[in-house]
Amino acid sequence: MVQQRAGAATPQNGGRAGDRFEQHADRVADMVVAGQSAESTLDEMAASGGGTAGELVQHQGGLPEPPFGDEKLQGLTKEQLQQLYDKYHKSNPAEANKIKKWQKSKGFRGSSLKKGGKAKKFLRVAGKGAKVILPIIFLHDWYKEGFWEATKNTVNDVTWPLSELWNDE
Amino acid sequence: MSDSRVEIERWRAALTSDNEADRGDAAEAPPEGAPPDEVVAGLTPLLHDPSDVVRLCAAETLGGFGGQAAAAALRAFVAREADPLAKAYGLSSLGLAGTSQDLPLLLSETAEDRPAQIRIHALVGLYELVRRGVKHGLMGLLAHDRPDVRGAAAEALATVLEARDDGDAVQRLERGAADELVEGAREGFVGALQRLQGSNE
Repeated sequence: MVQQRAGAATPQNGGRAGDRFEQHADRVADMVVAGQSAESTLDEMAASGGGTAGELVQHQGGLPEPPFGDEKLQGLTKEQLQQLYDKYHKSNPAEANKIKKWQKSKGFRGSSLKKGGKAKKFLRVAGKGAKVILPIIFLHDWYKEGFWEATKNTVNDVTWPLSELWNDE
Repeated sequence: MSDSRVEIERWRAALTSDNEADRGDAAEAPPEGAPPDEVVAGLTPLLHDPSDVVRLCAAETLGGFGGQAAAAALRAFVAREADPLAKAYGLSSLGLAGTSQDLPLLLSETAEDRPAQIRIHALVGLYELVRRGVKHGLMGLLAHDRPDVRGAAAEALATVLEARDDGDAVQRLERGAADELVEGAREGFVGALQRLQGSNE
């Protein structure tokens, strides 16, 4: 129970941010093994906020939860911010906009986050391609298999590659 | 209805969405090929949006479109805006869309007692406005009646436009990239260096 206070006593990997967490965990472990109270050492880490959000993400393998503030977003990469933005865009737009504002403050003009940018671009390109390809497929199938069979096949061709994209949340 | 008209209508609907993240995304990305007047008219009301992020995004995009209507809307916006970051984006946009009448305001907002974000954007706005004015003035002189003036204007234009050796700025960015401990901020230094190296190649 005591270890939950600091929230970072079980480092999972190394690296620059890892040194501070690992040293802290080692100190706590040494004190526990020696039969001493580790409470004050745990409080040190809790009082310092346990590190930046980026350090916590590195150790806990997850992204911070809302409500977001500078302290939770500091140190996250643009990719991590993009993931968070996509996650809360629909369910909590006010929190999503806090993430966008953070990106705007640490970047400059043109630096921003947009909902599912890559998927939308794919859909636009795919949509244009489909206008050319699908009638050809349909006419080919109609010639070979008849109208209803061709209609069924073409509908399947349209829906299968897109079905996964609809379920991105 | 043409594809581009459908896209414009979809964009206009997003500008009034109940979802403020949708409004922000729409404010940042008007459809390609949309008439500039229509974009400016669509974005201007968002400068009064309840969300500071949406106001910020609308101000940023208006600067990119420019024109008298955008400049007038941005002037009113920076005069009333309370959020420092949204106001900052309004100032850099005013540098892109404004005229020489905006120079005193931009200059005053670069003062050291102003919030850091406002100073950054006012400095860039000032730079953009002056750069645009200098380039426009020198290009006008390329058509002067006297050949010696035309020749001097051509040399002056080349001096202004030629790539400069900003070694001290590059050195400072390199030091920042090496010393910065916060990953998100280090990205900024590294990205700036990459952009500078790319533009010099």
